[in-house]
Amino acid sequence: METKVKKPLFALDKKKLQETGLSLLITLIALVMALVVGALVIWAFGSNPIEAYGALWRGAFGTGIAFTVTLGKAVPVMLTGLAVAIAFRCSVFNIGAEGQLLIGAMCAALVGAYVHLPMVLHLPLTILASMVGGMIWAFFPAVLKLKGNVNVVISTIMFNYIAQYLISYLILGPFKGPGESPATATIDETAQLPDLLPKPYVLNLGFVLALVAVVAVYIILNRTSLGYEMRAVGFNPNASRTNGINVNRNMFLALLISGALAGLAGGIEVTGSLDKIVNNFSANYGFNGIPVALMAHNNPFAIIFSALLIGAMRSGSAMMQSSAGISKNMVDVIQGLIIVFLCAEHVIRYYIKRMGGKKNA
Amino acid sequence: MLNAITYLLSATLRMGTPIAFTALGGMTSERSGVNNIGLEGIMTASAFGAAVGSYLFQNAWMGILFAIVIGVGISAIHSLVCITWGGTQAVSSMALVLLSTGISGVGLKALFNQQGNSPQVPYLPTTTPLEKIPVIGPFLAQQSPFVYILFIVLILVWYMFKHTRLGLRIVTVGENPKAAETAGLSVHRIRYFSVIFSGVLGGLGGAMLSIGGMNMFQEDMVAGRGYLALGAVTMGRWNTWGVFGSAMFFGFFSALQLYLQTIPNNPVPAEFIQMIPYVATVIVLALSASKQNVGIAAGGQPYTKFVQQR
Amino acid sequence: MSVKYSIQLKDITKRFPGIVANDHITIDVEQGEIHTLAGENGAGKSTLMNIIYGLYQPDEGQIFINEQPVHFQSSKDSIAHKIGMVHQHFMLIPKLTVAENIVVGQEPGSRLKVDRAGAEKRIRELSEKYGLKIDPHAKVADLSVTEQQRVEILKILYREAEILIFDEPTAVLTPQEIDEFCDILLGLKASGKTILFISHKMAEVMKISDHITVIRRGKVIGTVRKDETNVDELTRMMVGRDVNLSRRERKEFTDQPNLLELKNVSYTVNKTVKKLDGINLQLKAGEVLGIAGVDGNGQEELVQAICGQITPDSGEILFKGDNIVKKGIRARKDSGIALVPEDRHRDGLVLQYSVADNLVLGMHYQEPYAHGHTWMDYKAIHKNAETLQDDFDIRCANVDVPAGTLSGGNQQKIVIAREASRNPDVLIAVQPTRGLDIGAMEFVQKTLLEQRDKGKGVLLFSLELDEILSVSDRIAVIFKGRIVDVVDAEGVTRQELGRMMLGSHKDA
Repeated sequence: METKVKKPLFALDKKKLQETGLSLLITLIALVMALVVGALVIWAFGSNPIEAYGALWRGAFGTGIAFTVTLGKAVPVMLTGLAVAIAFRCSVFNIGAEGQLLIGAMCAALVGAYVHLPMVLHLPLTILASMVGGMIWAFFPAVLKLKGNVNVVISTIMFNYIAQYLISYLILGPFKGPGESPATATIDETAQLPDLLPKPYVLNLGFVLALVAVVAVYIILNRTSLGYEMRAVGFNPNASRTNGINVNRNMFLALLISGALAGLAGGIEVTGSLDKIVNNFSANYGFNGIPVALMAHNNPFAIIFSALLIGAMRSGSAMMQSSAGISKNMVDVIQGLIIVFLCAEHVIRYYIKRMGGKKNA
Repeated sequence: MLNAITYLLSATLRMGTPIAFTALGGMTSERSGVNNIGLEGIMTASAFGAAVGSYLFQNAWMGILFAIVIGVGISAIHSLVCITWGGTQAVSSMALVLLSTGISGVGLKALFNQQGNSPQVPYLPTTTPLEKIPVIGPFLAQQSPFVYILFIVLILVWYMFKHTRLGLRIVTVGENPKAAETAGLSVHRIRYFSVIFSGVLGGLGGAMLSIGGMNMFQEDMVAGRGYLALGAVTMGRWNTWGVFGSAMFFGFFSALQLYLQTIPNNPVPAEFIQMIPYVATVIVLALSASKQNVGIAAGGQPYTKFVQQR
Repeated sequence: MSVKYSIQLKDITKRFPGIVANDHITIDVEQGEIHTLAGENGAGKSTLMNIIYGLYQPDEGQIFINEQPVHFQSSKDSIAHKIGMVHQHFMLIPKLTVAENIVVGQEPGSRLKVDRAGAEKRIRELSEKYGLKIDPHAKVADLSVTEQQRVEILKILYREAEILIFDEPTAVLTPQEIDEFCDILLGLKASGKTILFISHKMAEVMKISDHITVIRRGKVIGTVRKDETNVDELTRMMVGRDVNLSRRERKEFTDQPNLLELKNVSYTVNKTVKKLDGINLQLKAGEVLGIAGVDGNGQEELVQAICGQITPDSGEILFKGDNIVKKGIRARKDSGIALVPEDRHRDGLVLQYSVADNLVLGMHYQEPYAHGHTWMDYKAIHKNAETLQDDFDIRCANVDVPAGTLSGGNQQKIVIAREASRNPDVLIAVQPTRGLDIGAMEFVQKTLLEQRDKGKGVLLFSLELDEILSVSDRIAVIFKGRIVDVVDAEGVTRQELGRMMLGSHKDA
């Protein structure tokens, strides 16, 4: 059926192109401003910003290995970015990607370690388990929204913490694996994602899965009636309702899909690199999805690039810390600043239009 | 038994105070129409600021001052983004969280060349002058001065909303900014005040964590208390006493969890006790959110020139 | 005695993206008079008032207050010049008391303590002086519409305003309440206030005005003395030509079956407020049934009940003989009930969606627009849009531009085109011409009549009696959630309808 769709991927409409260009420009302006202010912060704390950014760049892209690490780090944030974006398009702000990722990872770790099957079955089942896990964790806030009209922002935050405590209970208690430290048992080899490149490069099939997810999200949003409805609800819930679209159902589904994507991020972490759940393994992949989605203006294809950027920051930060002496937390600061400046979208748009207007006049 | 009760009471105050400070600030901000789900960030940054101030001057009171300054700074970013720029409040809040955790991590390394936590700093665990009061004196003296500051703040906030024109104006801009503007009020100025006021209180809440209950800053020491404060605002129905009560309710569960850890062979895993405030928030929301006529009418909606002109 | 002017506007111009809302407007308002600003919806009246009140700044021109030039940056400045404004949508906070609502911004007492007793005393004095009865203690949420309006008036009197601006204050009132309101205005005038009154209802305009200024499409058409004009002249000035929307030939419909029938439909809000109180109504094939009534008498709920947005507490809604009370919104639309909603921006369109996408909103999941209810076929959607664009004369660069970029009239055409293209049995149109210019208005009314002539049932909700009278075959009058009477549109007068809108039967 899909091959029948004739509308080109990017309709060459002048207006649309202009709008896409404007969005890109706004993101770039926000990024540059964040880096400039970030440089000031680095300088204020007594380090050399150029050195720090240089080290960040080398750490992320300096060698082939580093580049594959960057690609790998981009995978989870690409998926959580997609999770945040698809919900956002339907007016749902899912801050719970972190919790959904944790539960998804846990489910994958359990299926990976306690179910024994040949790889063709085991690996897909493990991946599927992670998606189901994330979906289940999104299901609670979704139901609370549907039945009790509970604010999704607050409930998803709360479920992040509930997930965190639940995981820490499970890895200390019932599912504690062999060994001293609190962790689950290592998953079977049949549940581990195969590498794409020979060692010492570190890139596994998870990267391909993330790209597949990008395409899937694009198709859901732009080629299916579900996507048409979700976007309509995101833009104007009243008109959607009046015209027979079930607003609650769409928000519910958006949150479930979002949860599945976040869960998949956790699943890929476990099957691709961790092999088990240890304490605090996620390190804010879920929260990183927010800047990833925002920078991409919730466009699935643009998320590939914003995820790479955030992934690069994550992979380069260690080098920045060791060679420029500034804590790797600096990348959190930069991400925060990116969001801050992206929030100025109205203002930036206003000035761009004013400058454009003067030129035309 | 009596020991257990004093322990719990004391621990409830200690654990509830930071949440209550932050929640009262959050309530003020929300009543003016600006939501801040990033209270967690304000607390983190100011807990760090308190440790820095206390360390530099070897005086915990200077730590409090530092914490307030940091709290004001972080909330000023939020007000700039949400009020002047008309940005999405929930999104801006998440930026605050990232910024604050980032800055405190960077600061730890740069100032103390340490990771994870700061060195030990002067702190304010007890209020010794109160010891002389008969009977309850020893108990009162065991509490941190922060607890007493909280009660002063509580009464101030209550009085502000009950009796002052500022309180009335905050409610007006939160419920109907357009009406406020037509009545000659500056919506932006009042919202700026409210958000920055929440930064001051968030600063106190953060300071209580690092130099009230402890004598150092630790990364992740806020551990979701900012979000609990947010829950307390909603659970307390934007009412000063309700919000205070909810914060203490959450404090009680943290205290209970501490207490249960002291009992040998405690049957309930600590993690489940720690979960209780979060679960409780969700349940309370579920029970009350569907009722009509609650919340702040214009809450979460920007009111700016840029938005008006599209 | 020379005439003194309270307000003088000289060449006021205000532009918004795409339109000139006020185009070199010049008006002089004498001290102590009631000066009416008349004009159709969208003529630019509200913008002008907001400029005088300091909420907008004019791009060009000069305002004089008491013959002194002024430059208002905000409402604070206009308040300082003793200007007060009662807005079309009340600026009240339901949670607060009457007294709090009135004093906020200029609270008596000190910075540290609002003098509540003093505030209430002052409000009592004012309310006695001007005959505006109100309890300062009451919560605004518990007040009726007229009481809320009194609070608004007290709010500006409390600020000692001498120049009072009223933006369409009668839109929310019943004719009887309008009479009372006119008396209040005359009383305020008698006490020396200058009043700028905005309205497009001729009866009240002729009753209380001293001068009338008509504006149309942002321009002043003229200012006349009340004594030297008449309703016909004013109407002509307002719309730019003689209005002659005479009714089209009617077909015989008496033997047609009932398409839609409501039996004893009731709906209660908050367990106490009866919004619909035993509605009985029949809509036949091939007729336009007009629903007349003052705003807020249950029209909104009636539409919602028929379309499935609310579920009535009791009663039956029969559509082609089946009770549809339990059916959802989509099921009802699909079975043949189409709706042109009152607020096209809120309920009719997704402004960010393209014209083409909007033209299938609600049908988007059906063939040929979606295959297997799942896969969208944008080619089919595009083709559909181009057909409808021609049929309904929707003017836009192409059907892929966002609907938000079109003019109001063309946006309404999208909604009408979409709903008509559903080929419904019943078409419900709620205030379908609100805010449209005459051309678009005629087009919309013509479309409704075409639907009727095709044998559909058309249910027309309108607050404009002229529209009801010119388009309907039969007219049902709704008052306080009840159908007062259903009459033949032929031979009923405006006066008779007006009485019925207050609840009395035609024959009574």
